[in-house]
Amino acid sequence: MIIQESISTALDSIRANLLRSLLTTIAIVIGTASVIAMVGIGSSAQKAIDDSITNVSARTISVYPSRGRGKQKINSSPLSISDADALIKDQEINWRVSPEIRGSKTLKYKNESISISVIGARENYLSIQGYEIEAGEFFSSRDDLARKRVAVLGSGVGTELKTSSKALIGKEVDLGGVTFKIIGAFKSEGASGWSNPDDIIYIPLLTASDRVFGRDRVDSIRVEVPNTYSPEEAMISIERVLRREHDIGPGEENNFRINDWSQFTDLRKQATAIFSTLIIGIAGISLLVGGIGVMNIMLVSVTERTREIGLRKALGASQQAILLQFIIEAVALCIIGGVVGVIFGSALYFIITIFQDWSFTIPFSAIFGSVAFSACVGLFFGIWPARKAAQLDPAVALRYE
Amino acid sequence: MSVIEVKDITKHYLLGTQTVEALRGVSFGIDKGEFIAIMGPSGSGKSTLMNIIGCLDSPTGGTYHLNNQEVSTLDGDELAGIRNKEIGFVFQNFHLLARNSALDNVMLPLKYAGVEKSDQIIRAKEVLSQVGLSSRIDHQPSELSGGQQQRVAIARALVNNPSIIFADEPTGNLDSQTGHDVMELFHNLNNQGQTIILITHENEVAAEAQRTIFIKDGLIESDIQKEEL
Repeated sequence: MIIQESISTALDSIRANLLRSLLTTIAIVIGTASVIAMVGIGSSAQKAIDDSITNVSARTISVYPSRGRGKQKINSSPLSISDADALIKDQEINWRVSPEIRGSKTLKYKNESISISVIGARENYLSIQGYEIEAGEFFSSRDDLARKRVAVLGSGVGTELKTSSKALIGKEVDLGGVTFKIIGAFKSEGASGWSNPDDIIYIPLLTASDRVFGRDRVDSIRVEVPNTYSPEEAMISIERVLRREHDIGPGEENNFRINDWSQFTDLRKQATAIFSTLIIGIAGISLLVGGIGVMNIMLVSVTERTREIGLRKALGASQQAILLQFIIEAVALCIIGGVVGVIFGSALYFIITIFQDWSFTIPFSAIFGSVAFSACVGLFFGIWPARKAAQLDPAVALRYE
Repeated sequence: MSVIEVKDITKHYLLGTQTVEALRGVSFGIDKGEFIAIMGPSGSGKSTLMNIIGCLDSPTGGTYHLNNQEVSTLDGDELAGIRNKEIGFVFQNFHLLARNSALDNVMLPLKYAGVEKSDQIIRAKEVLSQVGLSSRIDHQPSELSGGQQQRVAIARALVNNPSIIFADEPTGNLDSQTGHDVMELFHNLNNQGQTIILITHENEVAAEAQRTIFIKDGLIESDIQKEEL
């Protein structure tokens, strides 16, 4: 009965000072909006990262040459095509091996000339990466063995040459002084991580080794492991093969690095967690500031309504009834702020998912949590003004001018 | 039968380091059905006395029986309960809630009494018709004349069937015609057996009462029945 009356009185009072009430709750709005937006964006980004990692390399292990570190003098080409061949020969695990040579060259077509990333790879590169051909075809293992001068373009390369990758199929281009025939073009894959596969020209591994870069050193070897093996098992096998190939004695350190992509995922997750904590912290401060604002406005409200409080007490309102009325008003202010914040935050999150092409899931727990937290802020910061109101002397309050 | 029995009431205030004796021993009784005026110049202790009889404040010394119940020792919330049940206040400046309708204003004491909503409405409409405002129940105070607002306030005072109606300068903010109408209403209520206490400094208003108590310097100066005037 009293609660119902208190709620309607509180809402009346908020409505009567609508502008003031809204301004008061801005910090609360900002706080909850940032929580909702960040939690939403964070989870969608996480999902996108997880998806891309699952797509590209659920069980892909990459091997890189070690970077020479201080006293550990290692030769300058610790990973070579023969290492990859050794891995292929070792069929203890029926993995797929994809060595890559990477570099940068000048690509010329007609009068256009651009600097471009080059990847020399085997025919299995396409399926291991999960890329799709838009037109033409990818090179075959025969093209590779024959060191053919054929190339496949990322979807964005043609655009940089003032035409399109598709239109370049069948045309001849000049890559670092060597003439290549374009035989295919990829669909647009979009950037992931640091590199953008759309801006790369792909050529057969041995062509890259013998005709373009003049080295048999590879920059990485990707090993795709069947689902039936754990990445740890595979890593041990890779290490065994490569140590044998590199003639590394017992007790000596590897001169190569093996990267399990799950480590990368863990790192990402950690970074996301730190980022989220930071944002929640900022939102917490914002809510705290909002709470102080609400307390301030409630104190003003109590002073303004001293005579009303006096009257209510004269008519029989207990201290508890007055306390309740003002606490409910503070809580209602904060909940309204919280709800407005949820709306703004969700809208922001929704817009960002559209631009980033991410999935949108309503973050229910964050919505519930932040509104509940706002209510607690109102409760906490409403108590002092409400106590002040409840303890007013009715005789004095009635005559307050 | 006496409704109010006050004995040797004193009230001291601490103003800085100085003790102010607002009431220095006041005793009187008021019977059920009386129409009484309490008069006195400002600073006489009249307001203090009113606060104590109205259960808005507690005396420093002495006893106060309201309906045979000792109330001078009650705490804040107990006094709130007494005010809710036993006393109906009418103020000089009406003290209506500006954003509430006449009906809501009249229902307010019933809400604090914990009466069922449907009963609140029935009872509030009843008293509003008693003061002649049946047609104005949905109006907000700003849509009512001063006299009508004071009638709403009187209806609010009556709604819990109080033992006493306490009217503090009830005609102070009204022109003489509406003031007269309001006094007429008080007379009607008094004729129905309602005990009414008027606080006023106007002789004209006090003259409407059957009995007048004059307060001066914290003491009763005179207590006169009308017949003796």
